[in-house]
Amino acid sequence: MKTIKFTTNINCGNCIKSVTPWLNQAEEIEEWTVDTSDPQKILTVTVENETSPETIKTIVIQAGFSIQEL
Amino acid sequence: MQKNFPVEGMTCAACAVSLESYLKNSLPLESISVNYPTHTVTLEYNPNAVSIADIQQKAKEIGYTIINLQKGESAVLFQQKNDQTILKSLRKRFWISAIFTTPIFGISMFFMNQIPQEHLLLLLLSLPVILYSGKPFYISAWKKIKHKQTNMDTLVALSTSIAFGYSAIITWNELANNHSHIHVYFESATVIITLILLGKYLEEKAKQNTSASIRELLQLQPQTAKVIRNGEIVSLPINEIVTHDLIQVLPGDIIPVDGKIKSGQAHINESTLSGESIPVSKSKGDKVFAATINLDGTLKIIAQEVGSNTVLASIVQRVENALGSKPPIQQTADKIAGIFTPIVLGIACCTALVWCLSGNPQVAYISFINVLIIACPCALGLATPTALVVGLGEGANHGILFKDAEALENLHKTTDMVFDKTGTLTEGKPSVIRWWKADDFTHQHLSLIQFAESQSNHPIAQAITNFLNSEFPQSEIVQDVDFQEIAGRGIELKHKQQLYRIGSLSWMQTLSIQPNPTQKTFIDPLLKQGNTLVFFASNPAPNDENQPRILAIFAVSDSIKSDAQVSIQKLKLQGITCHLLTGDTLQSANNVAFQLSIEKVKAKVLPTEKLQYIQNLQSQQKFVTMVGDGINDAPSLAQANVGVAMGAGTHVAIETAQVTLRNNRLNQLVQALSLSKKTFATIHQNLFWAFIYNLLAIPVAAGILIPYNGFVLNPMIAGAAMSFSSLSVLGNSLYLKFQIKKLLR
Repeated sequence: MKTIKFTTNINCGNCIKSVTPWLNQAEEIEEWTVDTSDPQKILTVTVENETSPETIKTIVIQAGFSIQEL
Repeated sequence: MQKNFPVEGMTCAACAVSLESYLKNSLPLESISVNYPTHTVTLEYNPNAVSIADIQQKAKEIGYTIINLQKGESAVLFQQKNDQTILKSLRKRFWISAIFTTPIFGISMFFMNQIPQEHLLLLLLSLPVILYSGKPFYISAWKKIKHKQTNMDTLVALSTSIAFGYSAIITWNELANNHSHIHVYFESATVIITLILLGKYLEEKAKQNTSASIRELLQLQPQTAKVIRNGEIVSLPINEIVTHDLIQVLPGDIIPVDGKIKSGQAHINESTLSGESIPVSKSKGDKVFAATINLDGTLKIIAQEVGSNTVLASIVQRVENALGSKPPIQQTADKIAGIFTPIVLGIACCTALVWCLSGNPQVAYISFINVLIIACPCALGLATPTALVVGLGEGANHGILFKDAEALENLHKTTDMVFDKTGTLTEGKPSVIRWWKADDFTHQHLSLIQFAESQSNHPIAQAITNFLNSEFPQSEIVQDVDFQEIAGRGIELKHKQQLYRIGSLSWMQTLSIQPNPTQKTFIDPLLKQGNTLVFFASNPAPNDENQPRILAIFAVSDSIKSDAQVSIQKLKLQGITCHLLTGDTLQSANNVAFQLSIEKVKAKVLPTEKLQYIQNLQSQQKFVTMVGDGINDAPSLAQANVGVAMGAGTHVAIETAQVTLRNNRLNQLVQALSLSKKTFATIHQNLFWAFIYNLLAIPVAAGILIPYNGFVLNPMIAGAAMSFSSLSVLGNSLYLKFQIKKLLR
């Protein structure tokens, strides 16, 4: 298991609501949380060691948000 | 949008037709179907094109009220409330009737011609009985007549109104012309109303209360769930969970929604849905269902179906639908009255005609009235209820609980009996049927297994503990054991550097522990019969040369109830076709069916498929009795003509079924059938006794004796017919008590 952090534009509670199904259903993601109080809107995910950050990026972009690895 | 609404104001099948055609023609509905027995209407409509208020308005125009239920109220629960009010009003009507009838009866029988103005007194006393207590009979009879139908109510209404009207006219004439000695029939009218109301009250009281089963079902789902939202665990009410929510389920928790396991593994008790008591091991990617119980692992599940889309909700829905759509079976008494009434009317008219033609209009008038007065057997109302009350009471004394009088009256009509397997034909608890041990299996191994299995609450572990405790009561107690339950797999033990595992074959295989040929010959036939196997294997210490190997195997199975075979045989002798439906595998279903010689078997059926199977039988005009014990049986118990639940079964099954076998034995089922048969026979005899005296008195009432000795019917004859028929009916019902006692001894 490893933790990866990203900056995103997941700004508010509603954004979290709309990204939730995507992240919950992703096989690779064990746990995730978004800190919307941080100006950078940090998304922290816990994933299997072999999972690449790109996979997570694709999922979040599919959900309609922008994302960069920290 | 399709929705079900209760309807008030429908009193007969024609009302249903009129409501249906009126709404269909006046509103842009997609479909409408009015169900008269349940007093509900199913509407399919576009809420944008037509509102429910419009529909209610239109229905109101022709005198029906469509009730728009608040969220959470169900149509069946509403119906229950309605039944309660009916019972209350019946009780009130009966008591008022009884209070006023007692003095009327006393005066008429014992103090005739001793009280001044007694006819006027009787008239005044009769008024509340006729106008208040008897009102429903007149309303119902009037509605029936409008549709050219007759039933018991018609007979009661006709007879009592004529007796009362005739007597009232006589009383009036008396007041005008002073004294005369013409008989009055106030007591006959009021006694009939009282006794028939008593019968109706007893019957209504014996009706089943179905709302409890639905409440029980709704309680199976937990009220809150632990939802992981944005990485935080929050406890949310169940109705706030949306699909794709991630939910944490701890050991011992009830799974709140239908979903997929995202992480973790556990044994899940799915008996609520499958009826099988043996837990299923589930891990990532497997589906889990609301109302099943997580026994041992911590799971994270993704919600896939919530609220009314879960499998549990569909069971609730089906129970509700099946309970709601059960057509009422026409009462034997009503059926007979339906034929009897027109005949009596015919006789009365003929009598009048004959006397008229023979030039006696005075006699014609009197005989016409006399025939109608005598024709209503007041014991008619008692014939069915007294027999049912005796049957219900005696059944209950012997552990056969009929919650619904209708079930008692009709159980004996069963042509097909559908059985659930686990818990119904079998004990419902797994037990060890065979075991195998390696040559080097020691007492210490035995003690280890005993210790480990006694720590677990898994039903199979309990079965093995029970088995070993009874086989080897003197076993030693082991010390220094490291015990670990591996969720969803089994148990790991460490004792003196040695690792042992107890678990399923699939777990052994993932650990690459394979059974050797000897073991294979032991397990293969057992697997074919659908038994569950538990393996005890040793894993040698790291420095040991030996391979991991299997030291003992336990075959666990659910054994068949001891009286099942005899009982099934008896049922078959009565010409009943037996069916076996189970959610279990085909092997174990066939195994049980073979031992009990049941030919019709269907395995791996879902609750809804059981229901369809029964519907299918019913469409072939079969009278189906379903016997089950689980929540998964509830829809079929509700759908079947009669549902029978095992006393050890779930609350939901017991509440849904009309019959409960308290001692859990199948021979009670055979007894219940005989009980029903005897009760039904008694009802028929009672009806005979109720009618016979009145039938014999009809010729007298028609004036057949007038040409010979001028004898006209008088109240004494009417009174005697009433007393004799009532006493015969009561006596015969008490005799039933004696018969049942003999039968069930």
